[in-house]
Amino acid sequence: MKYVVALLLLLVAFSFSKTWAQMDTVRLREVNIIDNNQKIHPGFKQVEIDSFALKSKHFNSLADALQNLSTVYIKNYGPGTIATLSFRGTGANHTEIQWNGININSPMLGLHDLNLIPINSFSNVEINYGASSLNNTSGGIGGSVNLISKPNFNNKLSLEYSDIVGSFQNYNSQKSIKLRNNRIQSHSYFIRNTAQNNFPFQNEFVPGKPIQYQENANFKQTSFVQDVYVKVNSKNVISLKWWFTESDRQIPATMLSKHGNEREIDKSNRFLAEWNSQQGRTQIIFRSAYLFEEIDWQSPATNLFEISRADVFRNQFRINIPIKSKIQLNSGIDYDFENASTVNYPANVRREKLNLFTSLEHQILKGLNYRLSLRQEFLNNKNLAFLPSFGIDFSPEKFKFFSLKGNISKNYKIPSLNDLYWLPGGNINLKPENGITQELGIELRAKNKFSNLTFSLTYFNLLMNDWIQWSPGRFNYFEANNVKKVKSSGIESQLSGAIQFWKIKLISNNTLLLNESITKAVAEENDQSLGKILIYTPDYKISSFSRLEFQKYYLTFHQLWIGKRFVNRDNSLFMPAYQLSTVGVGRSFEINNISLQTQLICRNIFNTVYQEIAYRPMPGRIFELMINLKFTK
Amino acid sequence: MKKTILATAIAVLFFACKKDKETGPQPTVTPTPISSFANGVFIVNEGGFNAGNANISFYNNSTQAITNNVFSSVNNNLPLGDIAQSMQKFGDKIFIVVNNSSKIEVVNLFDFKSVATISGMGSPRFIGFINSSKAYVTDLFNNKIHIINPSTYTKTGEIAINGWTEDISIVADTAYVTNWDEKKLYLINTQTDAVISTLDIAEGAAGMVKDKNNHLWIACSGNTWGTPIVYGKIFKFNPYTRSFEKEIDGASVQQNPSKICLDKNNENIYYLSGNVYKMSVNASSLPTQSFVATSSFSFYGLGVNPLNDEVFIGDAVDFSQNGTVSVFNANGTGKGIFSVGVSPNGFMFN
Repeated sequence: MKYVVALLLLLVAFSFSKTWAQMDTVRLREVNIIDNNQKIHPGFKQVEIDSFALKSKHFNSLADALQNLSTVYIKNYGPGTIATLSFRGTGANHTEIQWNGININSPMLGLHDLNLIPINSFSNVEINYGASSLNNTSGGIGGSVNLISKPNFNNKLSLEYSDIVGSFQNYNSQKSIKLRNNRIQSHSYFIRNTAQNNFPFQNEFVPGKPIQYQENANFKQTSFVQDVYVKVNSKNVISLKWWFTESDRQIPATMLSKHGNEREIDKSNRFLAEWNSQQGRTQIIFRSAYLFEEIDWQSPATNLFEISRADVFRNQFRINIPIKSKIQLNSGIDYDFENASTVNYPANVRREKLNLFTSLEHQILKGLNYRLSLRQEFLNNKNLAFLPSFGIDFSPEKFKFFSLKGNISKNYKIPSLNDLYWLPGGNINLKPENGITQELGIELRAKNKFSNLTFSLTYFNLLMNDWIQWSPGRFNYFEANNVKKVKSSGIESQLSGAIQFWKIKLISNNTLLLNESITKAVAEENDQSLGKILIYTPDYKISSFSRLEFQKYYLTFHQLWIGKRFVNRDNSLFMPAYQLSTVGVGRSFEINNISLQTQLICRNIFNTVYQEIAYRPMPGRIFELMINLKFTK
Repeated sequence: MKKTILATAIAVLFFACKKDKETGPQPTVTPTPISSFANGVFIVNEGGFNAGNANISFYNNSTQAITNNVFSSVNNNLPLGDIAQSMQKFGDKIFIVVNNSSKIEVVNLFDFKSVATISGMGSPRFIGFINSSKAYVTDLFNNKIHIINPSTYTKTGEIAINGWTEDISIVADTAYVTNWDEKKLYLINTQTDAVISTLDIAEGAAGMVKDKNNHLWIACSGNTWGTPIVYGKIFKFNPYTRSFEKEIDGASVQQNPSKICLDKNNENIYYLSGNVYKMSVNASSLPTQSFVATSSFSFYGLGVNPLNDEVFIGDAVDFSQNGTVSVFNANGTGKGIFSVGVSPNGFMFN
């Protein structure tokens, strides 16, 4: 352990002394300076959501975009209610949602509700599968999703206004202003989203099977995003980012119960300051973030009114140094401080985390690269875990269309503050959940004058220990314990690309997930979940997204097939498989500096009746009309 | 090529969607239906909160066969609802209180076919039948007792009472109702619907049973959620003298009694406190030895067969998967175990 720290310090000292000497000789293109820390590392799977698909506003929520463009599975309780993410059969709390590299999961819940994230203020969304998330932070045992905003604005001024009007009084309006001069870029966004969500559905679970309207499902959300980038000089850029979101939503009941006017108000206020410095070929990044969240839960029917608050500081230091021509060293230190208070904890709770990591990337031969990384985690000054990970990438020179990659890693996830401190039942002696992940995949690429296609196929296997589960305890309440072992294995595949023929351009993105996630060990002998599949993890998920462009017109189509999901741990009940289709048409107009895009989307065009979660109704056919007006100078 | 695939896919989808499909939760193994409900035990499976999986099981005393999901399989696959709290016979009908669906389902005792649904109650818990035109229903959140007519299946009135009313027994023209958080026993005149007396009991009223002499045994389960832990008590109440004949404290043995039952000859009471305990009605302190012990602390339902003193224990396992019921002979030897629905919380002997 001491050796790691010593090595790190030595390297830092070494790099600084070297690079000051090199200052005169190396100048880099501006674009590289703001290189997001998470480059694709050999052996690790990182997929970027098609920016184009994001920007064209086919999806007005991050949950919808991820569900339709990637192999991650979104568990959605209904429009406007909670939506969580599951990677490779793991739970919502095994995924990290990051904002420019900073973990924004709630320290109390250990997860993030995707319906609270407005999608259009981010330039890129990166998905890190499994151990790929370890290249920045730990805790994303299943993976992480990184929402990135970049200073990629190349004009002087842009004003953008877009408005979506949809069924069930869904209004989504966004306004943004981008400014740029030689030194400074400013991106500002204001997003307001309201929806009644009073969609009709047939309640086939009560006598008479009446048509009912969803009640108490109102959703109101306001977001402000302000990003400022200051180019101090050709080597140094400072970014200041602010993101505020307030969501006020009513919580609807199931088809078998009545709502009691439940309501939840979520507020988050996030600040990030980053200094990115390119010293020769060495890159140094400092990031410091303050995250504030408040959850206000109101349930008049049960007389429960609770406010929970958390303050989090996250600080990161990163240094990427090339050593010789074939070796790259990435090292970093993270320091996090979390503070939370709620009536359900005995007192204000605090937690400190320190992570040190270093990794080596080495090109052994042409076309063969590996990455070895070591991470040491400390929690509240106690040595918590040592996480090694190794990845290898084989991309032969002779066969440029083919590459093979794989990795094996140890990862872990610390218990959430609710798991530790909740009264009653929280267990302060909980160990972190930990696991070993392995994956092996191939990628094939074909490119010619007319088309550009990529195909990937990955096999993954995770073994997780000490999975935390809340179970009945001594005194009539549930207690958190490290009880389970879970094995999840499966295949992910993606086929995407663009084809141009005649005057028509076709962009397509198709994904497949096959997964089996099984409980391998349980605590009690009468527990029938042993050997059974985890609840709400579908056995397959297939998505297909296509966009056809002809001159100024375009047509989009996306299709989703979700396999059956078991509802209880002994697999005695399951939700049937379903499919959803969405069609859209649009046209763009351009006059001088103004561009106008109009689009009509019909979601669930075949009016499929389905439930994601048992007895929670989902809307049928929905129409959305979008207008986007942009002025650029 | 892609276009053809796309077109075919659309065609396939179009046809696929024309089918009329089941959309709710489906059983992995379809239960076998039965038609006779005589000589057996009904098990109330509470289900999970907002999971919609409450259901009723039936155990045949002579064949020892168990049939699950009885309500749905007899009534066109309609789900029973969310959180089945209790079940009671009245005449030739059975009344099932479905707490989180805010209703009472009424079915025939003979064939379990649905007769009516009584709605208009917020979070009903237990019923006390007074006569063929009046019954009281206790309530968890709405600070009242509902008055219903069990023949016309309608709600006819309310009695305002602050707090969580739970158990109810009727003796002559008085209703005896416990209140979990207010720690009270109310005496209500069933003709005038007025509260005539309020007596103090302990916190956590979680079971009441009437013996052959019309005396009421009340289990109070204390409060395990706070610090320090409040242990429970067992009371014996005489409705004729309107006084408590026994108050047995659980602190000395660290117990929180609930789900109290009597055996056939009213010689012993049984209750749950983690384990299952059996105590003589003449005892003045709670037993330290258990009747049936558990290491998983998931015992959730308790019943004693009035014909033969067999003890039925519902085990909720993890309150998410299907639970089990174990049957024990009166001498404590095990007779069998079978799988039921989620969170079996009570029994009704037919």
